[in-house]
Amino acid sequence: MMSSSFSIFRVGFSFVMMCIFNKSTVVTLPELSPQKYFSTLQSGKASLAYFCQADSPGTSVFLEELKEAVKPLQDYGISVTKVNCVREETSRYCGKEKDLMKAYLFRGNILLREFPTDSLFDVNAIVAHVLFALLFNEVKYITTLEDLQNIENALKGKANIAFAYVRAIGTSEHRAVMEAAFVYGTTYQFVLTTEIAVLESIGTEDIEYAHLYFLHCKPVLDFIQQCRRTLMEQPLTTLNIHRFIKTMEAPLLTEVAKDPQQVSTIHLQLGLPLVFIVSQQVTYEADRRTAEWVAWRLLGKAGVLLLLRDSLEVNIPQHANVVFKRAEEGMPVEYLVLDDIDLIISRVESNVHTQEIQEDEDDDMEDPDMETEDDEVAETVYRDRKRQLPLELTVELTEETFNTTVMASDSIVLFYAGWEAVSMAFLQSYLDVAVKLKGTSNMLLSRVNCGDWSDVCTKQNVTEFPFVKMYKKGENPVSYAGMLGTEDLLKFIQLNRISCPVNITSVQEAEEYLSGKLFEDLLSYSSVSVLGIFSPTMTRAIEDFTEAGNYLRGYVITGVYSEEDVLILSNKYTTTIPALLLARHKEGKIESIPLANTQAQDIVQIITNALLETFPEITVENLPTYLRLQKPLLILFSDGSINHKYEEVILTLIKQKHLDSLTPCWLNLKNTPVGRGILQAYFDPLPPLPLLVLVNLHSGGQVFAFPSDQSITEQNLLLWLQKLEAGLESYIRILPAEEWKPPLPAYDFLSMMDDATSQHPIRKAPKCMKETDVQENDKEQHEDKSTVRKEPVETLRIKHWSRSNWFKEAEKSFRHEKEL
Amino acid sequence: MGLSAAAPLWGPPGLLLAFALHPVLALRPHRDYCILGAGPAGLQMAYFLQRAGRDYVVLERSSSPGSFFARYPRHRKLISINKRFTGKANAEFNLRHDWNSLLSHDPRLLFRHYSRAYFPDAGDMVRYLGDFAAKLGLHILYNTTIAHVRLDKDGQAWNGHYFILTDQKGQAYRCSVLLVATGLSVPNQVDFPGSEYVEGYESVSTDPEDFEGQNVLILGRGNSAFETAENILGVTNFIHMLSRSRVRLSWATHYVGDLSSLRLSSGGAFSKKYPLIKANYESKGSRGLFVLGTASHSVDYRKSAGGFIHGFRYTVRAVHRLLEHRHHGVAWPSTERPITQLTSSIIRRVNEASGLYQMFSVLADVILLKENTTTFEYLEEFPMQMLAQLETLTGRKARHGLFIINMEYGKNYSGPDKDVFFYDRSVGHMRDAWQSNFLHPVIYYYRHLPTEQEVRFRPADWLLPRPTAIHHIVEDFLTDWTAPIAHILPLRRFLENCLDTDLRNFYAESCFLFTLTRQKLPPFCQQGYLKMQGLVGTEHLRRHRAESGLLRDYTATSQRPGNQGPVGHPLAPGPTVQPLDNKKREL
Repeated sequence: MMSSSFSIFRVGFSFVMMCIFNKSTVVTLPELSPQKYFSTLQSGKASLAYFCQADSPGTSVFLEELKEAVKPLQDYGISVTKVNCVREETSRYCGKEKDLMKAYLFRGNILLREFPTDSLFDVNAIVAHVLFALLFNEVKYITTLEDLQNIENALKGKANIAFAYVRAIGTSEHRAVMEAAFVYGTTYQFVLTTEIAVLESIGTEDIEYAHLYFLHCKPVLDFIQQCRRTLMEQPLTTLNIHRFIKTMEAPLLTEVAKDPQQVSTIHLQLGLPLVFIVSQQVTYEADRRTAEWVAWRLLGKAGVLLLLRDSLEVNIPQHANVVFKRAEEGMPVEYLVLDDIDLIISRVESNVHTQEIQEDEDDDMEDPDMETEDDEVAETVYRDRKRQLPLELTVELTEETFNTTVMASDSIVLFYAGWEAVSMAFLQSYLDVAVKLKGTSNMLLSRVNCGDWSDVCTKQNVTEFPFVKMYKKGENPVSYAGMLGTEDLLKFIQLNRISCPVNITSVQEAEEYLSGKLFEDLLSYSSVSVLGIFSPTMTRAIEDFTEAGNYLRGYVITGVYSEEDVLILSNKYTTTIPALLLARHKEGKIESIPLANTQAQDIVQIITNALLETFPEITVENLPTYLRLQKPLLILFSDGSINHKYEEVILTLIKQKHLDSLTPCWLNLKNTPVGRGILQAYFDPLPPLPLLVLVNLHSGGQVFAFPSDQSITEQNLLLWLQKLEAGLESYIRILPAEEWKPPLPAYDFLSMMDDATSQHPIRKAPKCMKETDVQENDKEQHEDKSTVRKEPVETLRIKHWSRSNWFKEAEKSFRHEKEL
Repeated sequence: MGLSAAAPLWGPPGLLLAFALHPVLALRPHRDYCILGAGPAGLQMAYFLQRAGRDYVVLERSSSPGSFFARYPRHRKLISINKRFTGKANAEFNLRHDWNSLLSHDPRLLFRHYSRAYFPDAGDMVRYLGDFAAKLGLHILYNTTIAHVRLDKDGQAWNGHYFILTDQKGQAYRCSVLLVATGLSVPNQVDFPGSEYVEGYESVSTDPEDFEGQNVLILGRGNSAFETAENILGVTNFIHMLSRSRVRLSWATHYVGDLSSLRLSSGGAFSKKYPLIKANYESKGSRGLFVLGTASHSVDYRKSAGGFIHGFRYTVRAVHRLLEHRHHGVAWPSTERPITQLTSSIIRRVNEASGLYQMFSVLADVILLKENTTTFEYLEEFPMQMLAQLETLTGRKARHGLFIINMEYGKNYSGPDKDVFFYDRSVGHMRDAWQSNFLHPVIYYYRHLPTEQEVRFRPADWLLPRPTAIHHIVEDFLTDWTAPIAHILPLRRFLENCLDTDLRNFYAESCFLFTLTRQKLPPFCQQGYLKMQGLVGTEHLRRHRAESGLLRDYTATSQRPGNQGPVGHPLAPGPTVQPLDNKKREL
């Protein structure tokens, strides 16, 4: 992918026209008065002028297109001007008020053509029409086959013809032909038609699209002989036509006696492969004929050369008769044995693999993709396999040591399997945690390789990999259910140092807890501390809260206070017990949420929702938590930290409850570089940052972009959101709703087995075989195997498997059994 | 209980009645399960029943367990190997090379603790079985020879009848289920002129000196024949061996009943030797009567190891699981797992499971897919010939397709007179996996549970009806199927194509990208990342990922926004990769 797009670039630079295109300067549409305009006209120079009333409305679409055409026309030396007809200076070009406005093409001050603005419907049409008018002689427009034959006859022995069919004048294909004619018009006769009949009569099939033929008339000396035709197979674009004509200009067949590795021709530069036909003295004549034949067939698709083996200094494999050299740099040339010209053609056309003599034994070539790892986790783990991991930082447990270890000390155990890629990837994060905790934690980090100690894992109910469990004395083991990464696991371990919920014993301690002083070292892992306050008699509510706290252990700090003097707290935070007090340490705020017969499950919900920020920075790690809200995301993409101004705007709107139906958030591309990938999927081309986008993930998948030419202010944003809601904004993308299908097919062993049996007499022979027969058969089968192997591998997609086939098979075998 | 509670009301006559009834009950104690024989199979069944808390008894003719081994083999050397070290710690895997241990939860009850010999002494087996019975506290009635068994029709009984067993003292036992684990105790008698001079294996002298200078004709070329021949080889003039068929060596047939490099046990006319039983080891004649152990070998005779300890310990477990469901409503044990674990669940089992390996092509794992294929149920070691009846036998539902994981030899691999070392016998490339000859995992996929018809009329030489799709994991001589490219990748592709989904693993970062750029997520992101269990990865792995081209490295591109660069295409759910130079790298 990369290399091919590179080669196109390389081609582009060697290409006159592309150079013109790349010479980009910002161009504006000059506006002049009629008098001024006519005074600037230079003789021999072409110019396109659009005459319009100074303040006339409704022409802006055309003006936009005209503005676009300024640069390309300038590249061809044609100036473009908007002439404002003012009252004082009347000009005959200004027209009457009603049927205003035409564009005129002048050469010097001679009028060449006038264009009604509706024929210049877009930039392609403008360029195409203007060049068409200027290249009147170079490009012959025809409507019948007879016209074409007349031109052909006139040019036989003199010049070649480029004959194009386009569906209409003013299309992009027409423009491409005209641009090519601008460059090559003096060398070749360009002929253009829009009549399908002409094309049909020369035997073209499938005339849905534009076609371009190169008619080789110059070599034709005999008048009754036809000009050879070569069809350009690529779509009609300026670049493709250029490339095509270049290859037409190149010699049909070149003789070389150099190492193919060193040979380069225009074809390679144009990104086309080279085919060397290997020849030797004795067969030279025949080889040359073959090569010529091949060259004609590959004209426009590959360069063909005759390689003279006898005068060659380097060695090439003895049996090779064809050498294939790809255009991509650094690709080794391939030596092939091809005994059919069609094989050479098809190799070029579809890159079909055939047996390569250098790699006789290597029959894996056929399916490079199916046998290539496309699982990123498996691939990265494999690539990293040789690195020594600091496994010694964790204790490896065995069947013998497992129970005694987890009983003796608080332990975290990672259950993994050596062959399971995800668990091996996570093992690395686990070791990172071990490094970070080294010497600071009394939690023992250990691991069990379930590939070795299968029974241990089974007994611990571990059937999935990877799996992390925490064992604490006197408690049931807790399964870790967080992100499989260093940070989250570290947080889980650190927060589990305290019990959950923590029993708070005095009002003073409760205050310390709420202020964050009590567990200062844990604040970096949990930005919120939750305190449940109850009167000592509320046993049921305390139970529910304890259950919730237990459930949230390792994710958030919870505490419980249920002493007699609890009213001091409830009064201070103006709530009624039972209640939750939420201390947000970053903001230094304490909120209270009353609980009334709230179930443990709902308490968990309340606490998890309380952990959500109103305008969070969205990251790879936290996105799923916000997605649970099932609201469209309003994302501000920012290159680096968020601009304070924008933050204010959004926060204000949040406060005013305008964003309640959305999840507003922002993304820092420095912290989350993959955000660029998202932007690339949304925008083409990418406008400058910051970008505000609304993504409707849960219903419809539309992506809306806040107009990048508007500044992000409360007013603009609100207006935009209102228009969105009213359905007045159009989306810039709909996210693809494709299902995730198998990335590649699998081997279809079933049909391979069928093929093998159908070739075999075993089933058909209606008699019991003698032992000698078995042996013979056996041998035969192994010979068969080797032939089967060379056939292309069959692959499968279940949906294509036909059941009818098996019924036949089953029937056959059933009948067969009966016969026996 | 009822009777004694009623007694006070009835007064003295009631007491009389109770006395009268009591001897009748004592005459015929009831047991839900009666096991005949305290050999390895009987003990194994007793163990499972005990663990499940069932009402059972083992009835044994002699005074201690394993009486067969107290007498046989005559020359005291067992042919079942005792490979004490495999180089692996995995206890389940090690059972693949442990041919003598019974299954239990107690690692001390492994045979390797009882003998150091590679071909252990039969006396060690007797000691082992004795310990097994004693340490686990199995309920065994010794010195109880069942002389008579009859059926007692009763509508209340589990199977429509009770088995009434009568022992040598006339004591009767009433059993709901009868499990026969008596082995094969009747010698194969030959009848021809001169047969009166034949000395049977069961009584022949084991002292070589008794044969000094004699010409000996040995009938049969089975393990017993060779065992005897080897014993007297040094002292005789000539030994002639005569049999109907040529010598079969077990490494040629992969059947341990054939001579394992010139040693062991029994052979003979099959139809006379083994009782007729179904694939669930239940007698074809009477429901509720199961045949366990060596006598159950007819199910897999000459195919798998069901006639030997290392085979029937698994078939006994299977029978027990079937009984648990039939009589106690306990569904076949299974675990439900997310679909993302499918590949690794299969890889784990084919690499370590001993039951699959020992009872290849008889017991197979079954994976039942759940609705929308987001989860699956994993059932281990189900008798594969009973596949059509799976739902009724296990209590599990197979409504959304299923996989069968089996171990198989190549169709043309083993058999008498085939040279198993033939040229080119091993298959090296995963594409040729279906031609693998050595024991290798085969996975069948069915969209629907096959019917009984389909199982019965399956194509010739197929173990199961023709599946919707089949996969072979290429053979590996170390039976290690963990290579990422050669084993795991083709398996994943097969599973993906059966389920029509993408089973790749993704890092959280990729899932994040998919979440915000696509409406649907691959299962791994859905079941992991979206549930806040994404795989974060480390810096090292991130770098490898960028190098591999599997995800574009957005940190490295110092692109200015607005400047459109070449956009990679990893967003597409299709192939996202450039060909890598890693072909065959682990081969």
